[in-house]
Amino acid sequence: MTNLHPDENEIQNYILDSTRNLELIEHLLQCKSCSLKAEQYKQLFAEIHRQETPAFEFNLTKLVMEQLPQPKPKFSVDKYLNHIIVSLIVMLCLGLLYFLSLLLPNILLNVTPILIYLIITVVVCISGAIFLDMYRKHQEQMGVINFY
Amino acid sequence: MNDINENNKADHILVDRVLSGDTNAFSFIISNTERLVTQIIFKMIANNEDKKDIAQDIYLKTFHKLESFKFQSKLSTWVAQIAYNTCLNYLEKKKLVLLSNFHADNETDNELLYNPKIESEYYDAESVFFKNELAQILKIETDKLPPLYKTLVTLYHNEELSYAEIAQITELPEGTLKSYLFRARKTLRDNLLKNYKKEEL
Repeated sequence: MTNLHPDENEIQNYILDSTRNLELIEHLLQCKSCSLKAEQYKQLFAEIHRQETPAFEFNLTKLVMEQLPQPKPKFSVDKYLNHIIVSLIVMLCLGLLYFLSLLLPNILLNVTPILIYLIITVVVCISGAIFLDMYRKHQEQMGVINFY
Repeated sequence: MNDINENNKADHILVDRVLSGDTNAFSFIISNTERLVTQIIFKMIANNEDKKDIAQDIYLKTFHKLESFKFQSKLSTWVAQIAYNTCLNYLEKKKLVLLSNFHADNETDNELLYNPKIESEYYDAESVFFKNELAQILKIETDKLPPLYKTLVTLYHNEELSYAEIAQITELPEGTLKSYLFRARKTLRDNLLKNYKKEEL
């Protein structure tokens, strides 16, 4: 047994830190006063940890949010650029459909069933792959912003 | 490590959204940090009315300073730092002391504890030390601690923050912080023993 009593700092650290100090453990096993101190610290820390968390009686989030400036609608180039691109694509598609409608009867008469089947298969595969990719990304992003 | 990255990512997303004008995203920042901020306010400020004003002030400051957040720490640590400094300013304005002459008073007590006779009397309190009312008495004794000690004990033991995080919040050197925490815990233990003893007598 080590005759020198460990100081209280060592006893506190022994309770807080899981690293084992063999000399200290040996001393605690044989010294009643030090082991009592260690036990008191252990229970004190446990009790502090169990203490109730204080809370405000009002809704702090609501109170603060009411005082924040409301977001102003901003002119966004990106937003308008997207609209222009989408409109352009829609117009081109409509033009394409117009010309196709003129040629469609002839095209359909010449298309074999196997070709139609292949076209449908390719479209379904590509759409499926895009959908899966979008779904995976969506799940990842939801995981990141899930704070609860 | 992954948790840190996820936290960092989430902090980035939230800050970016608030800065790009999505004020509602700030409510997530409040709900993520409210517990920590409340703990700091309740430990440092005694007046209930002032607690409410300070809580609002902290989050308004956070909102307006958000642009200056450089992601060098967790967002919650940064908000806690603002909370701590706001409370500190309040204490200074009201001329209230953060640590008082607590050390000097306490040194005397500590010296007494080294008297083996008195020490052994304290140990007689063993049978009454950990009873049901411990929680209540501990609360009373914790309230008697200086605001700084209360805050440090809470951040370490209740919020389970690391020494590095607490040092960042309080801007205290880690060595000083550990020394304060040691003194605070020791004071709590000694006062509990003393008061239990008194009640017994």
